[in-house]
Amino acid sequence: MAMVKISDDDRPAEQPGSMNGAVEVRTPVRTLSFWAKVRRMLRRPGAWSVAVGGVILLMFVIIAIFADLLAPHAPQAQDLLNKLKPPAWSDGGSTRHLLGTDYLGRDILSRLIYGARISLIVGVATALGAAFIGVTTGVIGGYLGGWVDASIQRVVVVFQAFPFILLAILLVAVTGAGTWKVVLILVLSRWPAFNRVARSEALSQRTREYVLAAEAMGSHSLRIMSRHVLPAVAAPSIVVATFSISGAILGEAGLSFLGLGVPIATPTWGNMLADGRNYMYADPWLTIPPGVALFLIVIAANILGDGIRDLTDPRLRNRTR
Amino acid sequence: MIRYILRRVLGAIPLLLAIVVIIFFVARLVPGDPVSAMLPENATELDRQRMIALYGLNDPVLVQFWKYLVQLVQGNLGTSFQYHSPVSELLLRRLPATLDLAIAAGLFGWILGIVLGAIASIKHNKWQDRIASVVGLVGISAPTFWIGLLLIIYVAVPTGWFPTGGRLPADVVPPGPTGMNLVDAIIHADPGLFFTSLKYLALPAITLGAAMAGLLVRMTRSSMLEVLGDDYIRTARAKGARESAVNFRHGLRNAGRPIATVMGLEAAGLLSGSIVVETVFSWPGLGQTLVNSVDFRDYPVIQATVLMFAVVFVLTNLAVDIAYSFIDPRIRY
Repeated sequence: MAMVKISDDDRPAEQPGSMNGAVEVRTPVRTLSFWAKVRRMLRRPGAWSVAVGGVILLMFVIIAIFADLLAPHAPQAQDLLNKLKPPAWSDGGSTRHLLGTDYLGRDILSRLIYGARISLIVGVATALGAAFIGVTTGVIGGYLGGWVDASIQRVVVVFQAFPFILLAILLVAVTGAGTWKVVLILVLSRWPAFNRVARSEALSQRTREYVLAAEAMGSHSLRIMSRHVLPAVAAPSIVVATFSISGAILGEAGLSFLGLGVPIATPTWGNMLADGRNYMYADPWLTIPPGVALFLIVIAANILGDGIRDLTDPRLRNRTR
Repeated sequence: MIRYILRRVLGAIPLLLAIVVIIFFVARLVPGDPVSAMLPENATELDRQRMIALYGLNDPVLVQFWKYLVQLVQGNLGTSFQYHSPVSELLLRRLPATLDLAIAAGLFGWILGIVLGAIASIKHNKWQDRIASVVGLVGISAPTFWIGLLLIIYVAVPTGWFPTGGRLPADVVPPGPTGMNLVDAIIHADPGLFFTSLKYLALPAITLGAAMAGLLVRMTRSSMLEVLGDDYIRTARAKGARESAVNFRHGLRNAGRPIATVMGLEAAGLLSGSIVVETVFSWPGLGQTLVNSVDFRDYPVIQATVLMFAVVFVLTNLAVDIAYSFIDPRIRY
């Protein structure tokens, strides 16, 4: 990690040790080069979390995108002569199936790699969909205020109180499993979080000088909302989005585990854990790889979210942690 | 205060009605007609017509909905296809198991979460803080059902201390009257029963409570850190208050509201979490009933269980909202 070094060089000698390395002495304002800015960023609270969480998440994204190239076998291919094989490093394992095989002789590593796709698609699609609805309604409500805001808030309250997991179970029970149904339900359950954040930020933007100036110049409210309010809403929304990704991934895995999410034949981590549960006494290994993958991707998204929140929180900006 | 409570209770009615409407119409999305799904293969056209008349499926949808509502109010939830018994009886038999689990998990999560969170903020940046932060992060990141599977495979099976499923051994008859085994054991002053049920309850409750504990550690820590930096904390120290009084009477109490918010939100979350945990530990509660009835396409049970969960969910949220106004007298509605 080259960035570690740069940051160490740049740190003043009299304040060593602190892992998070917050800016403790305000340096006088001067123009900084790009790398100096990066160094400075890394010393702010949360910067390391962003780097670590982001790198792990990026690895999963790369795995998901290049699943076809990385997976040693097709995820559905059955090798019935070699079913329930242990991983390569234990007795009876072979390098043909590095992480072993399941009860149909399907390669666990390959299913794991393809499973990253579903998890990320569900996570990202949920976050995008929920962010679109939540931020739009939040900015409009927060900026315009009045009856528009009041009626949007009415709807938000209803959505917040509605138990969507149950709706998901009912919908899937009645109409069958489906990835996009899961996404739809997760979007419906998650947009109020975006709305809350966007609305409160938009409310505070409404009284800023540049917004007032734009109003005085006669800008259309649509233009003010998109050019002046929306950028300020972006940072807190990104924080909510990262937590939404992790929440949606856990939600999908839970529903799939119950057989109520993504169709059973699709290689997803939740489905793999459901299969593993049926063989947990005979072959406990089956529950380990998909569980670890899920845990890792969710913890990475959460660390990233924590980091972005600390990084963009003005109250923490000049505080030693 | 009373006006506020009244307004909130009345405000919940439209929401409950909306839930009933949605459940009714989603249940009507069954592909094909429900009658063919219910009838055996060799049923005649006459059987079909009888069945349609019996269930009132010839009526316009709105009339059907009205009849459904009337039945609901009378406590009639239909008859289970699978067990051929009234759904309401089935659910009432299963409800105590879920309450047992949810309450035990809630207590575990609250106590562990708040204690760890408070310690973390008092020992800010020390090793206690680091451990608590890691516990919090792991708690919110580990999939509930995975924790359950790991506990069964690596704790219950090797040690043999904990059963891997069920609520009581097959030869023990639950004594009643509440159906919640721990409560019943206390009522009957039966320590043997108490510890047996506790052994069965421990792992599922830990599994379900873990996520809540994680969230509460984080929430307690951050809101207490914020409060401990406030002026009145410095004042309290300056006037010579004991450190414990500063931390708990001034710190934790003022940090209470955001903590209570999370506790409330999660209390409702415990219900949906119980669906997964009950499946993992074969816990005979509402969640397992729901998942089983989905497998059997037992629509009356599915519909009623979802409704029951939803109602408990809404009522929990309502109770938490009302509790706020007691916790924090600064809130004026």
